[in-house]
Amino acid sequence: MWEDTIVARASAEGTGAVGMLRLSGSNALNIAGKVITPRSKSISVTDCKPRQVYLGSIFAPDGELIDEITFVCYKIPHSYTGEHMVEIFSHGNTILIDLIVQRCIQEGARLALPGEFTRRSFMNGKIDLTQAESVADLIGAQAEEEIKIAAKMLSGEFGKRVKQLRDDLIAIISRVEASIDFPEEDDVLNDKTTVLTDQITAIRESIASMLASYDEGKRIRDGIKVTIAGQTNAGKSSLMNALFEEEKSIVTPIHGTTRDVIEGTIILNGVRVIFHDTAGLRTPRGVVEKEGIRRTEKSMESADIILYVIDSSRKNISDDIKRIESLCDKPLITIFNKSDLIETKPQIPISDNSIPVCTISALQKTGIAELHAALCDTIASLVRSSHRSAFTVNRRHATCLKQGDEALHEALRAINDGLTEDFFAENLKDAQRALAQIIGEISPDDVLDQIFSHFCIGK
Amino acid sequence: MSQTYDIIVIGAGHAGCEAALAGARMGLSTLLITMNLDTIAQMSCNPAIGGLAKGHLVKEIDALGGEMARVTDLSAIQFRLLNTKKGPAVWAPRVQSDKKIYQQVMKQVLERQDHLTILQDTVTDIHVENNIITGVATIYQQHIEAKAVIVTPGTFLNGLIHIGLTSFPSGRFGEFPSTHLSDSLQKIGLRLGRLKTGTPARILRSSIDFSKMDEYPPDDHAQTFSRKIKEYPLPQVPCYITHTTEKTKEIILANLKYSPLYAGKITGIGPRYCPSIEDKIVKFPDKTSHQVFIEPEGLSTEEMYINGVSTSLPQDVQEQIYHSITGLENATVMRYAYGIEYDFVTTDQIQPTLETYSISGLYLAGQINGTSGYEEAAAQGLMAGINAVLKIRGEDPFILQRHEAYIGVMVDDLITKIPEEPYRMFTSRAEYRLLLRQDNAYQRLAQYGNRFGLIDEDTYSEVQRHIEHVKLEIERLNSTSYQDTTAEVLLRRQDWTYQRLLDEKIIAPTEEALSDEEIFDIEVEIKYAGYIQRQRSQVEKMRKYETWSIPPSLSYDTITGLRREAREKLEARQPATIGQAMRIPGVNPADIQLIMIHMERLNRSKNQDSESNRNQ
Repeated sequence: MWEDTIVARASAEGTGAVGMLRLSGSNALNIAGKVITPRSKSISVTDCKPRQVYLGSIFAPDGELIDEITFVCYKIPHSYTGEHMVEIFSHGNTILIDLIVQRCIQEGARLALPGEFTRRSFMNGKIDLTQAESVADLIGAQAEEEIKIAAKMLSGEFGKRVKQLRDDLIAIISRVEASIDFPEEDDVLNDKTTVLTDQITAIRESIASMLASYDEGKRIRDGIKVTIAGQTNAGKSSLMNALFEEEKSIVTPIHGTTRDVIEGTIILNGVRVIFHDTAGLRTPRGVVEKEGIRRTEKSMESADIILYVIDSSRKNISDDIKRIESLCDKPLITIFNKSDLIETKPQIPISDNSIPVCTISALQKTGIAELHAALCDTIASLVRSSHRSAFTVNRRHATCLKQGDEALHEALRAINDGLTEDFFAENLKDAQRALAQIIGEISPDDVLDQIFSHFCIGK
Repeated sequence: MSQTYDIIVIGAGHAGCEAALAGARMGLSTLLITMNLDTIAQMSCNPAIGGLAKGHLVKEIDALGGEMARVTDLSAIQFRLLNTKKGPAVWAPRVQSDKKIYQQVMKQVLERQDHLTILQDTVTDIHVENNIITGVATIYQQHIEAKAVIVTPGTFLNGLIHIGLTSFPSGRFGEFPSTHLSDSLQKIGLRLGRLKTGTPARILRSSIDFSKMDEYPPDDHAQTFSRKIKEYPLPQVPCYITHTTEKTKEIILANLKYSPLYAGKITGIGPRYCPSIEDKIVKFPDKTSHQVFIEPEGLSTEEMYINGVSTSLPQDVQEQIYHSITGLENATVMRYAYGIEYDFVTTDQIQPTLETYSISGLYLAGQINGTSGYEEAAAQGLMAGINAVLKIRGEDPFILQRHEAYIGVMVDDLITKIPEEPYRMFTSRAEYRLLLRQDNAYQRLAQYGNRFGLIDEDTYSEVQRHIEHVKLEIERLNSTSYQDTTAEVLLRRQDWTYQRLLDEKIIAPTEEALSDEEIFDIEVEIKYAGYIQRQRSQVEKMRKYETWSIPPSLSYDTITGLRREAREKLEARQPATIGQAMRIPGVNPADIQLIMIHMERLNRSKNQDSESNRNQ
């Protein structure tokens, strides 16, 4: 157990109905006992029933009432941090809560550092590193899907699988080491090289499937990027405004009005979607437009989904078709805009009929619901796989997994090149270290600090 | 009459001999006390020196100016280089030695050594005043004064032999144990633990049917261990391989109740890497047969060592077991196998110099530190001897790092982890294994041997020339272009050798022809450059931690958030550096981080204080 007791406000800054603060550490119950006067005379804080709600009051040292509160005690090790803990629920005023925090500090607690509660939970072995990180993700989540993936990580399933892989690797390493140190015993490897390479390959496959969840999870965490592109005056900015139901982009009949990328975020199906309205594609006139088009190209490159807008009233759209076909490696929706200017539905000469097509009038706001539906389908297909896997890894995990995979790849290459156990053992050990880093069992000096500095106080 | 020495070494086994020689050769008056002059440098167990990782230790002892390698060569009757199917870093030289010749040669070296006195006596007490060593008492003398005492008692510390369910105090079979010394160590405050080892039977050569066994011949090209010896003087002889049978298994399973191990009579922990035959049978029930090596104890004896059949079962059961082994059906047993339990000093009490923390000037080496093996013992003896001299002279201690030598790995392992079984060296204990080859021991360590006056100037300049030649030649290969590549890149390929570069005239011969050893070094450095460089950069990374010293005044109590287990381990072990702290089991990276942050904070506040003082 940690020697000192920490305290911090756990509820958000600002005013709310209820505020909450937490005390954790060897002295948490004693300090709470000095700060809180239970309503019932027969109860003392230090030996009240754990995980039960009690009523009480908090007084200033001069005897003046600060607030009426409820509180819950937790006893080591059955608490979030794995040590004695008290949670106090007061009225939700920041100044009030700060007064109570001050009272706790007067009685010997110390203000918690950012992320310190979770850090203690990790240090006391209540959660592994992947779970600790997911606490930060959970709190920082801005859309429903982000909460879902953070919650999956919090369950510890990912940590468990990484641990299993690492244990498998350690088993392989110890057999390789044994064959080096005990050559007079039965040779572990010589006749069994394929067994070894199969085992390494199996671990690489597991790593690959974990890595796949990274791209999906990344989309959910960072938001899905949708770029609205097309020729000048196709109505891209009108579409942007129609989607946001506000005048986000300037709309004029002049070709090339939009020069820079305009950005806006809405939540669709529980996922953050970031729209980019871009400069129209044509042979640029002037430096400014040239730069604008360069930014359009860049935005299209990094987009998860492209909404390609075509002016239905134009006779020759072969340039557009060419463009669409060159973009078909990523999700794309073709939008025939200005449907109000034509009588019959446009014929679409696109060879790939899997590309969804919407006909709309951005100006008159017709067809927008259908576009929403098509967009939601596309988004769903992008994030669907992340629902299938039990977890989605973050950037740090992905980096470690890639390092581990690379080391295993080198081990296989070394085996193929005829290098002996003493050499490829080094690659296997590198891979083992990379995996161990994910769950925090081996950790270069700054990983922990980096992770825990992402927390704000009181979690 | 009271006598005075600089150093007293207690025990003349493999550790004691090296310790005494190092002390005397570095010019200090040294007394070596042994209970029996006729058992100096006795090989109590197998008649072999070297092998996996142990061969490395012997080479390192030679490069530091120790004696074991030379005596091994002079008594060698079979040389084999093991593990040659693997990379050069784990090749392992091993010899069968003639035990008696080994002892005679070592005894003569000791007898002829200046500044060294040898005495047959038994130490009964270690004298300490104010936690500083003052000397020893023996059966015949009340006090012999010394500035340093090196204790190397082997298995004699409270030795207890087990054969079947019979047990009796003994140091080795037929020799007295050393009980007074054990009491004395406890009296001066050292904590003792208990370990177990054993030795197999010896069988009369003429009673063995070798026609049923495979011959295990010596290598055609013998390499010597010592740089000082060019050729083995003794004839090379074969060993033999045979195996246990189904019947062996039956006999053992039927008699387990008579095994002191399985009957719970032995409490000391035995080595997992050297299991008794009853252990092998019980733990690997699927194996129908186990390998047995038959090794000669010497050229002038008919005793043969039965390697692979350690046991502490009673004599009559042993007899049945041997007769069930192919080729030993009519074997005559000359000495029975036995197990032995003995005291050791738990190694949280020793410093990296092998001096105890609690008593200044008291050094421990060999089995007393929980190790097993002649080579491990000799290496510690040498290190303790050198460090005792340095301390008496008031010079800096000599501590080898883990990337410099297997000896460095061993000592660091001992001080950071208390052995739970007799500690034996393995290559897998060395994380920088690829840098620590048995053939480059001199390049790694001769500088130290030379600094201490144990390696002469001529040898040392030879080694320096070797290092220089290799460096220059690698540079030359690097700058010699050939078609669209360089000679160095060609040499990396599997089918290229240095000789081929010469033959195909891709490089011109050097002015002075390179030695075979230099060429070998160049080839290894280039062929495995990727791996070797990576280990070197890992060493660099770790250097920060290895040199980040923890002040002895640091109080782990004041570090916020340090887990209790970690704090207890750290307090007990008192690591001198962050690097050592990292290797203590039970101390995890998060704990290490807290310590580093704490020390960094202390540093900063100290700096701030001095700054604010300046500002005032």
